[in-house]
Amino acid sequence: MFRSVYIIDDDEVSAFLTEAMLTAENFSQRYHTFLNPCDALQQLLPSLQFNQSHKIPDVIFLDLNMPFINGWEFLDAVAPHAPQLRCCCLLYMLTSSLDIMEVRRAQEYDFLSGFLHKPLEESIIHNILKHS
Amino acid sequence: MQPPVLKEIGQSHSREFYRAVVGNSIDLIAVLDEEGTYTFVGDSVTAVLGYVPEELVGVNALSLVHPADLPGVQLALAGLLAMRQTTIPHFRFKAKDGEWRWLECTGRNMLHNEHVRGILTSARDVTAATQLAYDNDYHQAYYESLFFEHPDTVFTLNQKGEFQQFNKHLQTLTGYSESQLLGTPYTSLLHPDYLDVGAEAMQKVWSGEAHTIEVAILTQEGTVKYVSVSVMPVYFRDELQGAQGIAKDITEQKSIQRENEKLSLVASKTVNGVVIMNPAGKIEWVNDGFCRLTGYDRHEVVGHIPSELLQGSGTDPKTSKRIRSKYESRKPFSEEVLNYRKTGEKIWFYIDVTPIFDQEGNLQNYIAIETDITEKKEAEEKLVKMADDLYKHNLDLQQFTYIISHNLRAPVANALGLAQLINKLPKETANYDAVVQKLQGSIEQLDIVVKDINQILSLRESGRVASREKVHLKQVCQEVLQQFNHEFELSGAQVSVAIDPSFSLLSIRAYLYSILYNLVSNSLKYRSDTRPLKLEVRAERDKRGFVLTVSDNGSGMDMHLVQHQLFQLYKRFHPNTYGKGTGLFLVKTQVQALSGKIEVESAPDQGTTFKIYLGAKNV
Repeated sequence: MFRSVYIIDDDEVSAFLTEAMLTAENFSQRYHTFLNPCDALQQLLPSLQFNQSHKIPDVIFLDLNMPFINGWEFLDAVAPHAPQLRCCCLLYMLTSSLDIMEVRRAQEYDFLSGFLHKPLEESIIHNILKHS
Repeated sequence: MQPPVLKEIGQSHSREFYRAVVGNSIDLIAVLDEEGTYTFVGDSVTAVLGYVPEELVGVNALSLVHPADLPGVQLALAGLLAMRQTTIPHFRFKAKDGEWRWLECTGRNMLHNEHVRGILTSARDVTAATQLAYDNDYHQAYYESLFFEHPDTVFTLNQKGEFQQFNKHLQTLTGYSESQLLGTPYTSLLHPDYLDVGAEAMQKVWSGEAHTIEVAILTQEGTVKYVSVSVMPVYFRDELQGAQGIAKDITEQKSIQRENEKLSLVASKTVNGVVIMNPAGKIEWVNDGFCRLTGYDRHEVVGHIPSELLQGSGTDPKTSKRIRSKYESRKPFSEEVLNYRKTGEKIWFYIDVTPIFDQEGNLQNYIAIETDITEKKEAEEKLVKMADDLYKHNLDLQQFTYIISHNLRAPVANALGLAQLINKLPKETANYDAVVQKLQGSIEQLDIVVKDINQILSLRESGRVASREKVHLKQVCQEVLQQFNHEFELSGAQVSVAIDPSFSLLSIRAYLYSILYNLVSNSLKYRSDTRPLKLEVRAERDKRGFVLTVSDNGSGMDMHLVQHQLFQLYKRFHPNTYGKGTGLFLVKTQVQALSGKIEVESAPDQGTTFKIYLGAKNV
């Protein structure tokens, strides 16, 4: 079981669903849902900058298609802190998109732990849990 | 004959008889002594020379002979004295009036005749005849010069049309020798095609009329030469003797002339337009092709500069400028340029301009050849439009891929997940109803996206074909604003409209309505929380039509962040406000369907201004 999880998704239903599925599998102790990705960045960036690993979530589920800043822009914003992310955070793309181009694009970010398609499935959740 | 006459004197006639006969003779009878002094002068001297006989008796005849003729006369006198058969050459003799008269004189030595005792001379005035002979010789010299020294061929023909006499140029011209030509009829030289022309001309000559013709002849070598021949009849004492003529070799001129004729034929009959300009670029001549292509008559264009006449509003100013500078460079050039016919119809020309210089390098003319490439240009334009359409379609496809993988897939993924969750949740839990409700919400959202896609697709199609109608901008604007009256009142908004009521254009009314509706609705939706909305809608004229401006003092956007995505489908920039992200996408699609352009300026917490450029096509 993880300590803390970020769910970054502007789609309220989707965010609710992700949290409900994770809860059902006893995924984490705490869930932080951000409907606005900017809020998530505001929280995350200082922790990464000052390497406060206790404030960095164990797992992040990041949606792609969001207003204001999308998933890619979010990744670009945290990319300078790739080493910290690699060591103490599992960062997953979680998107409804089936676009193969986006899967390829995701491979450019080596600190990404995986590219997941919505809806989140039990087996996937169990696989991730093995890393805890 | 003298002795019998003298014999008769004594027999039948008195001395006075002889005096009278001698005195009235036409000839001047005189007797000279051995020295040449007159011993007797007949009375006819008065008629011939103006003297009275007494004036001359005792005068030496030689003193009155012209000094130039004196030696001949003296020689003859010596001959007579020596009793030789002697002819006296004509000589000039001074008359009473001081003028010289030509005399023809015979003499006979009668010194031994007891009655005469002197030299009997008989002279007659031949001044007129001698002058005539002199004049004849003089004219002959001129004639011969004209005949033999003439730089062209001069010849005479007898009445049979055979060569009688000719100068050396006939040999040069024909290549035949003098003996080959003499007595040959002129027809043997003529090219067979010109026998009729020659015969007709000679007929006129024989009837007394001089004539000039151009004919072709065949030389000995068999080459064809062109000559211009003037032939005139020759009469002597009213009798036709033959003809004489002058022939000039015009082979070179003829070939130049024929080349010119061919060139002129090419220039005037070619389908291309040909323009000859003076060094100032003004038209001196155009061919029929130019008139046919442009619709102008020749007299309408002479003196004008082609570009001023033919270029119009659609001509690319850069091309015009380039053409002008190329004329000034005085080098050959070619360009493709949009021109206009007299009727105003467009015509694309490929022009090829060559400056012509004389030997001193002075600019003489410009020659322009203009080829109609309208069809080619139209095909090119079609290709460009097709490529543009394809590009747009391609963009559309990309966008729809995106819509399907995100906006369509998102509610599906949600529905799938929720359905799975329902299976796991016991029905009694509080969450259960909420999940079912969300499942329904997701499916409704799916339905909305499908409907959006349908609307956008049909909008794109109809935008290409929908018919235009006359739309009054102010009217549409007021109708839109009326829809929002209630909300304006509730929020205390200040709305101002500045549109000239006369502004109207050919457009699609529904699109204009929808564009304004979306923009006004956005202004209301994204108004500032801290101040009441100020909304301004105005229209201005510009070069191409009208500019419609909708500006507000709302919450605005950071253009750095949004500029690339503002008009994309399902993009939203205000996380806290309800919106599907279709409004501005629709606005842009509709503006494009009206061949217009949309621009946006915005600053966070200051407001947003949309400018819509509605293309030409105004009424």
